[in-house]
This record gives sequence, C-alpha cells and structure tokens, in this order.
Amino acid sequence: MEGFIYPNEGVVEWDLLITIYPFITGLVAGAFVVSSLYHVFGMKSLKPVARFSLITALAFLLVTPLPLIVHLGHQERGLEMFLTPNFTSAMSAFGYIWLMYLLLVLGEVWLIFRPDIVRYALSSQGIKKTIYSVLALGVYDVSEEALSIDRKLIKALAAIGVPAAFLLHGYVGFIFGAVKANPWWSTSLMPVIFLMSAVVSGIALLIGMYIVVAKIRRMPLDHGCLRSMTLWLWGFLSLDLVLEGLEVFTMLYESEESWGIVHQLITEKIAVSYLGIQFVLGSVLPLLIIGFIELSGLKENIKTPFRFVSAFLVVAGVFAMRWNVVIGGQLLSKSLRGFISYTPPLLGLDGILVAAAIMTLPFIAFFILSHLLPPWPEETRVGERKTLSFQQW
Amino acid sequence: MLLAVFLFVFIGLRVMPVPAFLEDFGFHKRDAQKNEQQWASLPINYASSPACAQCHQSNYTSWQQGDHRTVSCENCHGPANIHLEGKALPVVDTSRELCGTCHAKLTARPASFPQVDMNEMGGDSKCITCHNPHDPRAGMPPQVPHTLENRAQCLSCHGQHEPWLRPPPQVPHTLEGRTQCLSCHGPEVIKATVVPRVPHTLDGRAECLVCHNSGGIKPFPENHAGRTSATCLSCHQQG
Amino acid sequence: MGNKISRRQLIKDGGKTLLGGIFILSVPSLLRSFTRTEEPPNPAAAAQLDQRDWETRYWGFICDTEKCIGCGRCVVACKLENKVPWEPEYNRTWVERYIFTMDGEVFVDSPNAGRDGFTAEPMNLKYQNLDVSKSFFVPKLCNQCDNPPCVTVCPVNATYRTEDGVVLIDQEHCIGCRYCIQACPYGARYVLPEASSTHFGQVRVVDKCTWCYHRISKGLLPACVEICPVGARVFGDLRDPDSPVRKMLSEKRVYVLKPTLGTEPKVYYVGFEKGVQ
Repeated sequence: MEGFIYPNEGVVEWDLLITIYPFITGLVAGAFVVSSLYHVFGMKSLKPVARFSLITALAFLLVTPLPLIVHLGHQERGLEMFLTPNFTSAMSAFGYIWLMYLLLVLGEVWLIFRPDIVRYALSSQGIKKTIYSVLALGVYDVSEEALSIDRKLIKALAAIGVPAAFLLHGYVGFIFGAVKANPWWSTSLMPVIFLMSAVVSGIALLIGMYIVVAKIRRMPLDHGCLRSMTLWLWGFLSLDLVLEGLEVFTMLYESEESWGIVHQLITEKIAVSYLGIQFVLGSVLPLLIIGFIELSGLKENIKTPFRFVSAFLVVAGVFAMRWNVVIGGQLLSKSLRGFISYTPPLLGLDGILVAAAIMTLPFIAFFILSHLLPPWPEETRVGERKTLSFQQW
Repeated sequence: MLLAVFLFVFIGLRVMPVPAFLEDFGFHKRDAQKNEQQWASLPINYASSPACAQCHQSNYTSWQQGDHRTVSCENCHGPANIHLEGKALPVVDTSRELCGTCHAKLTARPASFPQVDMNEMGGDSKCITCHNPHDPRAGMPPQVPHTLENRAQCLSCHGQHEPWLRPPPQVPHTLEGRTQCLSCHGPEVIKATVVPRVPHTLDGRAECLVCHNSGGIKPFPENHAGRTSATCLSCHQQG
Repeated sequence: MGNKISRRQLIKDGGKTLLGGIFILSVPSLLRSFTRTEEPPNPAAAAQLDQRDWETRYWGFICDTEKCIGCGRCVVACKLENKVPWEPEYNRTWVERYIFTMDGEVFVDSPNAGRDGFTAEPMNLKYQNLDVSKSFFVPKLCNQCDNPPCVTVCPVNATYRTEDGVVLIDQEHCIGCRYCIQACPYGARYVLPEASSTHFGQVRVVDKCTWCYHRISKGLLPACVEICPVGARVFGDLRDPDSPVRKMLSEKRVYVLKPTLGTEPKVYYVGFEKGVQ
C-alpha cells in the first residue's frame, strides 16, 4: 500500500482468474475470425487451417465460463444470471451470449464435419461406432444436394458468427470500458481494443499451434497459409497498437485529474508489463520481425522459427495486456492518491496453480476434439490417400 | 428457424417479465413494504440516550445540563439495547485514552473545540479524577476562556453594573467605498435593515479586537477578517 | 427431403432441450419460493411501520466537515450496530484526515479507517514536521446515489434502490461477482469475508452501508448519527421541511463527492475543499 487508499480497497477483487478469462475468450474470437476468413470470405490460402482453427475455437470456448464460475463468491448461484438478469448490466449478457455462441459454433462444427462423422459412423466398430452415431444425430445423407445445403448453412453461420464473436469479446471490453469510477478502464475505446487484441492473440495462437502440431504429426507445413496468417496478424497487430497508443495518448493530452495517478501507474507500477511486455516485446518487436521477414527473400523454413517467435511474443503481449487492464486498473486507488500491490498466490482457488490448470484445459479439449474430429485435410494425413467429394470445400 | 430459436433465447427470455411467484425469490423487492418489514425486523443494538433516563435519573439529569449533553450515553457505555433487555453492560472504559480520542489536541480539529495537550494535562492520572464525565465542568472553577493580554482591567468588561455584552451585529458588506457609514446608517435611516450600533461605552475599551477578534470571546464574523480596531467605529456607531 | 425434415427435427429437439433444461434447473428455486413463509417475521415491527407515512419520505444525509473532530466513534458504533467485520478490516463508514501544507501539498490518511481516532501515536505525530496551512476531517460512507452505478452493473439485480432512496443488497441473491465494487467511485462496498457474521448470515457476498435501514425504517437514526458527539452527521427526510437535513441544506453551501461522474450522491458535505475526493 502506498499513498492513500480507501479503507475497503486493500484487496484486488478481480484477480488472476478474471485476467485469464478475457484471454481465453480472445483466443476464441481470433481463431473464429481465421476460420471465417476462409468460410465466409473465401480466402483460399487459409484453407489448410480453416477446420483446425474452428476446433481450436470450440476447445477454448468450452473452457470459457470456468474461470468466471470459480471466481464467484457463490458458484451455486451462478444460474441466477439466466433466471434474473439485470438488463442494464453488461455482465448479465455473458450467459446468453456464450450460450448462443456455443450453439452457433457447435452447429458449424457439426455441419462442417458431418461427412467425416458419417463416414466414421459407417466404417468403425464398437464404442467408436456408438460415439459417431450419436454425433451424427440421425442424419446420414451426404449427397451432393445435402452438402450444398450444408455449405450454405455453414456460410450463414460463419457470417453470423463473426459479429457474434465480436459480441462475445466486445462485451468484456464494455464491462471495463463503461466503469466510470476507474480512470484506467473508462474509455469508449476499450471494447475495440479488447477485440483487436483478441483477434491478434487468436491468430498468433493458431500460428504457434499449427507449427507445433505440424511438427508433432510430421506434417509438411503449408507456407502459403502461414504467410497469409502472418500477414493478417501484422495487419491486426498494427491496428491494435494504434488503438492502444491512441488511448494512452489521449489521456496524456487531455490531462484530466486522473492523469497524475495513471501516469504513475504505467511508468512505475506496471512499467515492466505495460511498456516492456505489452508494447515493446508484444507489439513493436513482432511488427518489426514480421515486417522484416515477410518482405525479405529468406527461405521459408528459415522464416518459420521467426514466425513462431513472433507469435509467441504476441500471445505473451496480449496476456500482459489483460493483466495490465484488469490488475493494473485495480492497483490504483479510486481516491486517486495511492496504490495497492498484488502478487497472485500459488495455492488456493485464486492461485497460480489453478489458473495454470484452467489454461491447460483448452489444450486437452483440443486434443480430444481433434482426435474425435480430425481437422486435417485428407492429403496431409500420414499414410492415407483417399479423395472424397467433400474435399472441394 | 435456428435464427428464431436464437432470437427467442437471447431476446425473448430476457424481456419476459419475471412471474410474480418468483418475486419472493428476493431480487426485485417489488413489494417495498414487505422488504421494509424484513429489514425492520433485524435486531438493533443502539437505543438512544433518553432510554437511559428511565432508570438512571440523576446521571441523566446532570448529563443533560452539562457540556457532554451532545455526547450520547452509548458513546462511552456501548450499545445499550441488550441492557434494556436485562443484561449488564461491560464496565465503561475510564482511561485517559478514551477521553483523548475526542479531546487530545490535533491540528485537524476545529479550533473552537475543547482540546488539550494530553502529555501535559493531568500527568498520568485518569481524566475522571477531576472531570465528572456526565458533567465535565461540574466542581471546576470557572475558567477564564480568553488570554489575559491587554486585559489587565477585568472590570472594564466584567464591571458590577455592566451586563454581559451582546456581540455587535454583523456587518453584511465589505468596507470598500463605504467610508461614510452615517450616509446609510445615520439618524435618517435609509436602509431599514440592521443598524449596527455599539451597545456599550467605549471607556477602557480602546482596543476593540481584544474581545472581538477571531480567537476571542465574541469573535467577529468571517467577512470581517483582516480589519483592525481603527476601522470598527467607522461602521459601528455608539447607541 | 430426408435431410431437411431431420434438420428441422433436430432444431426442434434442440430448442425443447434448451427450454426444458432452463425450466428444470429453476425447479429448486421455485420450490424454495413456495416453501418460504409469507408473514413478516416480526409482527410488532410491521405494526410500527404501518403507522408512518413511509411512502412519501426520501432520506438525505449531511456530513459537516467543519464540526468533525475525527474521534472515530461513528466507525465503532457502525461496527457494533451492524456487525461489520473487525478483522480483516472492512468499513461501512470511515473518517479521513486531510492536511494541506503551505507549499500546496496534500496528505490524506485514515489509520484503521479512523476507528481508534487519530490520537494514538505515531499517527498523531506523523505530520508534526509539516508546515500545515489547513487540516480537517472528512467522514465518508455510502452516498446512496440517486443514479447508482452499482445498481446498473449488478448482473443479477441483487442490489437495488428502495422507494425512500436507499440502495440495499439482497445478500441471499448476490453471487459475489464484485462488479459493483469496481463500479462504485467512492469505495463504499466490500466483500464479507469468510468468518463474518452479519445479520443476514451470508459470506462471500457484497456488503455496504445501508444508512441503518433497519433503524430508520422504525423512525430511529442511523447508529453513526446517533453517536456523533459533535453533530457532524445529520440525517433526515428531505421531503419534510422540519427535518434537520432540510434546514441545514437551506442555510449552508453544500457539495458532493465526484459530482462530475453524475452519480447524484445524497450525502452532502458542508465545508468542502478542493482536493477531497
């Protein structure tokens, strides 16, 4: 504690768990955007990762409510958000938005993977057959007509899904941006900043996962796809950097009463994670690296580790951004005269171990889902040489 | 069709009014009277001082007339409701620290509030040795509540036939551009508002500010700050 | 077409499952609402209430910083009346000390929220070497705003504003998400810790000053107002012309905390100073 804080302010209420929540939903939004770039806008270069990114989005989406529920004072009352919501509270939108979005993504996954499900249901035995038969939901028609209807539906769902993904993550930004009591949070740019950094983190995560999974499965990388993703990353990242810089610059320029303490916050209290990790390591450096290697004529397999490093830095930078907003905003006192400090404990429900466990769950979910519904295009699967009509899309 | 389902789930469920039987579930508290009754049924711990008068008549009377009449009984004796129900109250804290909580000298306290330097007043003994907490001034010699500078002649104010003085009426305006007081406040009274006059003789009272400065007995109002004794008579005529 | 019909069936089934799920999950709460008794728990209290014209009153509060002596008895009284936790320390009301020095610096402190006063050393001596130009005490409590940001952001409507202007919390309904704590610009709210035992017996939910709603509904004063030895806290009905609050408001210049935020607080401060927030 430093300076003067209100007596009730000694504790950071929205702690590590609330920091990882927007991080996870951000990854969902970003992964879904990549998938939709292919399914809606027809970017052929992203085809190799289209289904892969959708599975990633689903895996992370399933874990999304977990940190929130664990953080509640009374988890058993969590359903009240559905039963007695307050129409003026952005947080009450969470239950409905998440549910709707889950149904949307599930629907899209089911429609895209339906031919595979049908194939597995018809060709496997025992438990696998049961699982796939259940997943097929009694629909076994894979004729050309049925598939074209599927394609239209997928396009529709992916098209609705883009604004829905924006809503899923934008409302989190609004939860912070609409709090007039906190000068570090209160800005109308907050939903947009959250959204841009979400898309950025999702794309970066996909780049990283694609490279890692390809290495594990000994698949050849589609460098055109990687380049495409990296360029999209560069575009969104520069936009994100501009927005974040604009927010702080406007605060500096307008120099309101709260600028004194905000300035102290970003130059002293969270200087390392804000200026160091979020801006320099997480935004400026990746922009420079990507800009350099994509413009250069280096060989593709030399570019790949640079892309991986950049993606990793971006993901770390976005996590730092969530930390700086959530924790940073609570470090400064509403009396505008002091600070508190926060180190997350190791043990306990709000501790680092639990947060790390929650962060690994999406990867476990992805592992299970990708084995259940392999997202890889047929020709890259090791040892298989089938060609079926559904490959056209 | 899917869209219709989404719309229903997302919008329809939220705009549907909560049925009446769910109101008692607690949140809307639409029945304000029932809500108030629920709150009013909570136990209270603090009675107020008049409740003590029922049994503790003599202490209450002396307290009511003393300087501590604005200090509720429960301030020192603790919440009294359980005592009204029959339980004894804990023994009251009679330490110096308790008295000092209010009366220790602090810069931030208003200057007119009675405060003493706890390190000098009374040594280590309890304050209640001399001051009855129910009537702190009882038994004490009346204090001279002002400094004795320029007040060698006590009788010039406290004379035998001189009633104790009223404060001069407030001058509700500044003195700028107003050197001729009588032009407004003269015998032909133009303004029928307060005519400030000096209600005592000026014998032995050359220095007006001895009594009427901001730290004195009858301080002048704030809008008089900075004025000297020389200018008092330019507004406050004798009368 | 075989496909279309089964898809429609799928959607129908999905929709039914969803609605059915919501309905099933709400059964426990429905059961609870039916088994809850209808009469007020204390008929005597109810009788007391019906006599007063409570529907037209509107409560207001004044903190007079020109009178406050920083004794902290209000903090103690509030804790004893409302069973506010002592350890870990949370406060429904507290007292701050402001010290302005000659060269324009401001020092603010509130040791233990002022509950022991400001006279024990070393807090008494903390600022003795400063060249003080002005200093005073400011009592703080929930402002019971007319446009409360805490009520706006509660996701489950657990906090609400009553007809007579007091913001209360239904602690049996609060889920402990703590959004209201973030939204309050005055730091009035806190979470009840595990070991606490307030009147509603809940933990890990949000709590705050209620202007002693259980007392004012019976015509009594809040505990802090009752106890204040110098009359620095004034409470009354803003719609009653004889109430002390109305009288003081018509005589004194008053100000509120953080008016630019538009929360419309109902605690008015006499003797306000730039730098108090």
